[in-house]
Amino acid sequence: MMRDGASEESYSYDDTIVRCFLTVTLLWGFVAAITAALVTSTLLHPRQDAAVEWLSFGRLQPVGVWLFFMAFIGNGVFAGIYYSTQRLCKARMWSGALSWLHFFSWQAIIIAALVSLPNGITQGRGFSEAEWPIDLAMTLVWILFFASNFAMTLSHRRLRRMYVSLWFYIAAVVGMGLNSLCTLFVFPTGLWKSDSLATGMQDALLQAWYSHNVTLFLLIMPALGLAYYFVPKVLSCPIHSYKLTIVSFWTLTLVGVWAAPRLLHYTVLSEWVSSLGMLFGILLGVAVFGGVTNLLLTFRGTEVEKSTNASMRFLKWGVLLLGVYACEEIALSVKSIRAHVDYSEWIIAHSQLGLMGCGGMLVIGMAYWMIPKLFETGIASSKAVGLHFWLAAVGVLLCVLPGYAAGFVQSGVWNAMDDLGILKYDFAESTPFLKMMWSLQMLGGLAYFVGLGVMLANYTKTWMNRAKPYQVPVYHVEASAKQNRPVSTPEPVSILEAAPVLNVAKKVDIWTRLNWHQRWEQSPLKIAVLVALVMLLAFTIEVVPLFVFAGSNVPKIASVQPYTPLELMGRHIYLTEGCVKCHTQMVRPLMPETKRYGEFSQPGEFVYDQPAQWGNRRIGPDLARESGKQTSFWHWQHLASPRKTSPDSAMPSYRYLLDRPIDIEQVDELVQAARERGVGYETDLAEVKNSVSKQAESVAAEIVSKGGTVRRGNLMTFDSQAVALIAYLQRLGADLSAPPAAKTKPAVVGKESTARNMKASQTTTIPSHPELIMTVRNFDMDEMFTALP
Amino acid sequence: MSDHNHNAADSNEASSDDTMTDASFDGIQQHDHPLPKWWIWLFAGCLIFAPPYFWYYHNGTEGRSLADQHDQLMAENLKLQFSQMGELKADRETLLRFTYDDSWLRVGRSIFKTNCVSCHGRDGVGQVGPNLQDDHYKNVTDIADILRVLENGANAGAMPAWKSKFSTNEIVLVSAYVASLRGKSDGTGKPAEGREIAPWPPAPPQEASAEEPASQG
Repeated sequence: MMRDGASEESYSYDDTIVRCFLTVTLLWGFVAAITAALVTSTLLHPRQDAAVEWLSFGRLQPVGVWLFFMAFIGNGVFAGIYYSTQRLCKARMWSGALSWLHFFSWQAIIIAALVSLPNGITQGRGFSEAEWPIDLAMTLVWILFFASNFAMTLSHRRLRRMYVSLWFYIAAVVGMGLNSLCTLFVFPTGLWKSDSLATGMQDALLQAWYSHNVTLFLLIMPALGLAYYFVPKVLSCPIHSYKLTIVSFWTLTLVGVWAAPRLLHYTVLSEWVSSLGMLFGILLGVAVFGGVTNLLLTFRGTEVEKSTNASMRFLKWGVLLLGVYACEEIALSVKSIRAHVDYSEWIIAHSQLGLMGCGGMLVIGMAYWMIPKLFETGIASSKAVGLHFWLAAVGVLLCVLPGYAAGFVQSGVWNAMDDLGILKYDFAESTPFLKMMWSLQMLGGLAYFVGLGVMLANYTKTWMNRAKPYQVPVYHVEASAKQNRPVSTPEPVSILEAAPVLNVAKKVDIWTRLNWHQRWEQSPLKIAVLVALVMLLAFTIEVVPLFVFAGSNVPKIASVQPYTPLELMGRHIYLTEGCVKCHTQMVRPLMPETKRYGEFSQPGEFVYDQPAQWGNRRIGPDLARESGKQTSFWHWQHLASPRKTSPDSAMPSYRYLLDRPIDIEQVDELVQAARERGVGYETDLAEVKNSVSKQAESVAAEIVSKGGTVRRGNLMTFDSQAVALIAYLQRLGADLSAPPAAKTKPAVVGKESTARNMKASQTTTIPSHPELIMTVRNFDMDEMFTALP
Repeated sequence: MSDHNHNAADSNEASSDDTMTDASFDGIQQHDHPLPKWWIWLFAGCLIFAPPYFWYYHNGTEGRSLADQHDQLMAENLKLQFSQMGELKADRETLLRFTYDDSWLRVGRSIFKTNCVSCHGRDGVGQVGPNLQDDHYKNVTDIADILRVLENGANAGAMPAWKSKFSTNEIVLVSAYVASLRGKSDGTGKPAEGREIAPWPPAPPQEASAEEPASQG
């Protein structure tokens, strides 16, 4: 065949890196599953006394998520990408050194997060809890070690046209690279401490933006990419529809990133942003469902060999659950559905379905198919694989289904009102049911864990039987220059060619054949640039206006003042302990909610919150209106032994906060950091000290007057960290109902609000109800344009 | 031409090459089946739905924002709660009538729970504020005094004036609930403060409640 021996070249695939990534995937998955069970057990058996500081749900929950997502799914995705990219490009990874750097630095990042998070080193921002050095490292590793290597491999590919998996990988690599920049929007105040640069509403949107897109680019897109490669490989049968492949990829790419604001429905986020999030979220679900349909139709009626049967079952379940996940995405985008289930366990079950169900099952299925190829020997026990399938399936179902049930019960308890509109149940009345469901979920986590243990044993045994040395196939081809040249495709002829119709119709007909797409498939750069442009456009339209037109989006409330130094310290403790994992700070404009907690939240209330602590789960009640609801003494007792004051509570004891002194240097650092962010503190150390001791003494005086002790051991009550946290809790919501004299009307309340009050008073026989007057209008489009210079 | 007219049922005939695209990627081939119709319509439907939805809620018309909708619901709810009683007067007879009316006491209870428990404790056992379950009162000698304390506050502002925050109906209902708490003490509450006063007068004759249906019209 080869006419000129001189232009011949040979290549082989680097499977060592795949083996390494796969090994750590399984190891981390094993650790992740047992951690998940441990995290659930901290809810079932909250610590009675603060013997071990890190053993609390608030601190361990992010560790569990990090392990499952970044370590288990992340490494699994890398293993799959390194395996399939080389084969789809007919090229070895461009740089072995970069592959290894990627491998080791990613594990180092995971370990760093694993050590720092339980020790309370956290940004307190959803999905990007790890402090800035870790985030920075992650961004750099992604761009410098992974994206560059991947891009260079693509540019050296020997197959001009790229298969759909590669399109998904490109989108994931570019999207995740850009998205991780969001985590860097912080202001480092020390090596292991930073403040968010954005405040309140803007910061909450950035958090939502990041966590939505990390799911899109590190879970959904790679999962689809891997499934498109491994499903037809395992089945040895063609993909159902090339056209559906194209259409579902592009729809997902074009609409996916816009859907982030749907995580913040009914919050104080400007409503038009949340509407965009909803509309695009629905489209996102439909687009994912298109890809799932394509894969499911590929499965239909196929028969596979017995040896690959097990991995096919995992893949099939992974794809099926991705379909369920997509349907949930649609449901959870809709505002009125979200109004009922937001902050409930359903939201958590949805993430678990995504991670353990779709991501986990696909990665495991892929692994079982790759293992015999990577070790060049049959899998040690195919019975064990069958056992693992059942353990994993039961594990997923036991985690997800009780979550749904718990969500529905919570929603019922929170929202039930009688015929006169009076709340029927106390907040805590769902907790006993929740505890039953958590027990089931813990069993599910254990089943998943045992399954991965079986797999790990099977894997080790197979590895011991591996071929020594590996027979690495070497391929010989003509020189790459010729291989990589653009392929010209013949212009298709329209079926309307002979028909008497307009030329436009013929052109549309040809366009809908999608043959033009073959040119796009030859250009990774085009796809990458388009993904980046869509992301930038979505960011510009949804996020940037909230910063540029901050004035009209976040109407100023004059009575909202910065936190005092003691309250800043309290807020720092709140962040460190991960209180946000169980408590929201957001009263939504829903009747059951305002009846339970008080007036609904307003954007201007959060302007000193860096970062926002709105939260996404209510295991405990909302705290946005906590001020004055309980006495400081009650909080004091509640922190030390939560079940003394609230018998059903799942909160761990924070007795050590009562025994630990406030470090005035640390308070000063927090104040100085806030001042550098532009919050007006005109204080030096002496004044900070003075302010702290004054406020602490008054809080402590109240505690002591109710029966609290003046000192515990050597520590005076007013010196303890608990006092700082209580001061912060007593501040939450206090500003909004500050004395009327200090309260001025929000800046943008104009003629509309007067009109509204008149209308409101016409519709009701009650002449003046405060709820009707004290409403700040939300953002509207007119204002955005009148705000332009 | 024929390859575009195949229906989805042929998808499993992997051997029928005319539905196959020409390329192969690492051995993976792809059929050229058309898009499922239902999927196209679903996606198009969602796409078509989007602009009118966005226009409807964000063209600046009053009453469509979430806050407005909440306020309307709240107003309707208040109307429902109070349509059966009309505009009440904050006087002694009205208060007496509602003190013995169990169905309305729960409305008073829910207002009390949201606004008063932080000082008076759950069910009025007393915390910063005095115990409301015993027979001792600091600023009350007659049942009607409860109304005055609620409206104007007491103890130099330690008990705030609620006149501006509550409607008159709410003041009556909360006062009625507070009055109904008397005698519920189980001895665990805050120690008594103030003087012991005479028991509340008995319930007024039944005809007072017979008026209620008449005021509904």
